[in-house]
Amino acid sequence: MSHLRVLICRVDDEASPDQMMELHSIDLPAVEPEQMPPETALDELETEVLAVGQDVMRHLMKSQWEEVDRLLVEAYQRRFSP
Amino acid sequence: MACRLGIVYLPRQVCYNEELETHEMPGNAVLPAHNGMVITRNLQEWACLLPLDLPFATVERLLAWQTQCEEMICTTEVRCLVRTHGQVIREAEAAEVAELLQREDLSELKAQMVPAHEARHPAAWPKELNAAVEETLETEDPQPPEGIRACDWERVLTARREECADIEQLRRLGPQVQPGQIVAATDDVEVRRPERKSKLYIRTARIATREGFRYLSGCGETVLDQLYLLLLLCGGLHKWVTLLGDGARWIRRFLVERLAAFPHKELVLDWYHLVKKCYELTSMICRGRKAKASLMGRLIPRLWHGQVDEAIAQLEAYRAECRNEEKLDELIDYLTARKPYIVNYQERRAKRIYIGSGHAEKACDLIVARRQKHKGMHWSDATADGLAALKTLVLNRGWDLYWQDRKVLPLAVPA
Repeated sequence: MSHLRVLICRVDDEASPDQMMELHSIDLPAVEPEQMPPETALDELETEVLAVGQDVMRHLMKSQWEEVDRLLVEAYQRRFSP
Repeated sequence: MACRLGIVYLPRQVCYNEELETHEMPGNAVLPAHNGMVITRNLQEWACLLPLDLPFATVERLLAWQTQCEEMICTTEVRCLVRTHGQVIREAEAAEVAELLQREDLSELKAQMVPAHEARHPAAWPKELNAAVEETLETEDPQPPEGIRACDWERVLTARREECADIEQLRRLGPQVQPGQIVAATDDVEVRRPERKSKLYIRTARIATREGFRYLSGCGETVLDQLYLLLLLCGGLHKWVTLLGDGARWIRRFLVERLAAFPHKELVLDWYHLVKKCYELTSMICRGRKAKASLMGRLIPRLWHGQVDEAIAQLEAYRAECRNEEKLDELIDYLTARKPYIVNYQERRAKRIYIGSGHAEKACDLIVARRQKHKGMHWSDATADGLAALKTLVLNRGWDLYWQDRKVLPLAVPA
């Protein structure tokens, strides 16, 4: 059974954008249409996607912050001679 | 960090400074001052907006639902945010008031008002009554048709006589702010404190001109300073200032002391409060319902026509029959103290001039009562005032300015 997966990757070299390093992967649950009653199917899908989407965005936020922190640390370290 | 995405843990690298022998976290350079937890301004906006209408527990649940995070900021933290932002707003208001009061000349400034728009559906009697009204108006001695009150009918006849208004205009007669007039309705509302029999009084005001309106709220004297400045900035020194209120001592004192230099001013004691006071005290003065109805029947028409001396004479004449002389004296003192502010309500109503402080009652309701005055509720001063400050910001359309530009809506702007 197939399912969807969201990947968060980092491109280290702008010259080769196809080369990426995977940072996080978040799987969406597999869908089973026969188990989905029409009254609630869309609501359940919405809830699942929202939960996963928020999780993805939290990972993105953290990754972006790590990048900021890394750059600030590098700048701080440059103030001192080796 | 708590943000609209939920709780996100932000790791920071620690660097050791050998020269100073200290540990430092360079990442802190882009973080605001905090005690371990940062709440983003976006989330703070949500956390301050929702409690204006909803209980804190519901706010906590909704924020968790919105962020898909089981545990978001708790009710205590939400209260704390409301208090903090309320205080920021009040401090900015106080600073602006202090700055404006020091100025000798305010002529280069004007009041920052919310633009007024024509009501889409002004109060009116049902259209079905039009035919009956038209028919009655054709008779020699027109009497109010069923469904129209006698006091409204007086207004209809006056307007018909003076302005030859058509039926659609007659349907919608009511007081309106006149060109060159400033109407300021003021009141206060009590909020229960946690301590037994202890109450906080929050003052509110709604100032209306032909061009716009503005709400004010707050505890203590700052709100009176704001009211004074707003009246000045609206041109109170050369306009007709109508102050409407329940006749409380602080409102009378404000008129006498703060508005002393205003040449065209008046304070009108709200008709509803006047009748209510009479109703309450006559219950204790009279022996039985019939006696009360009889006294009220003589008292109220006098007051409706602004005949305070005659009303007091009625009460004095009742002294022999009264069962509580202390309350009789209280009512007489009440009327005597407010005599200059008891106007000819009948005439004013017929001429469509304001006789009630409904605007202030509505302001109290919108700013405080709807949220803070429910059964069993009690509030700390800071939370009650914080909610009032934020709600006033919403009503004055200053919310976006505060949250996007971090500026508190000023009282005055360059003219």
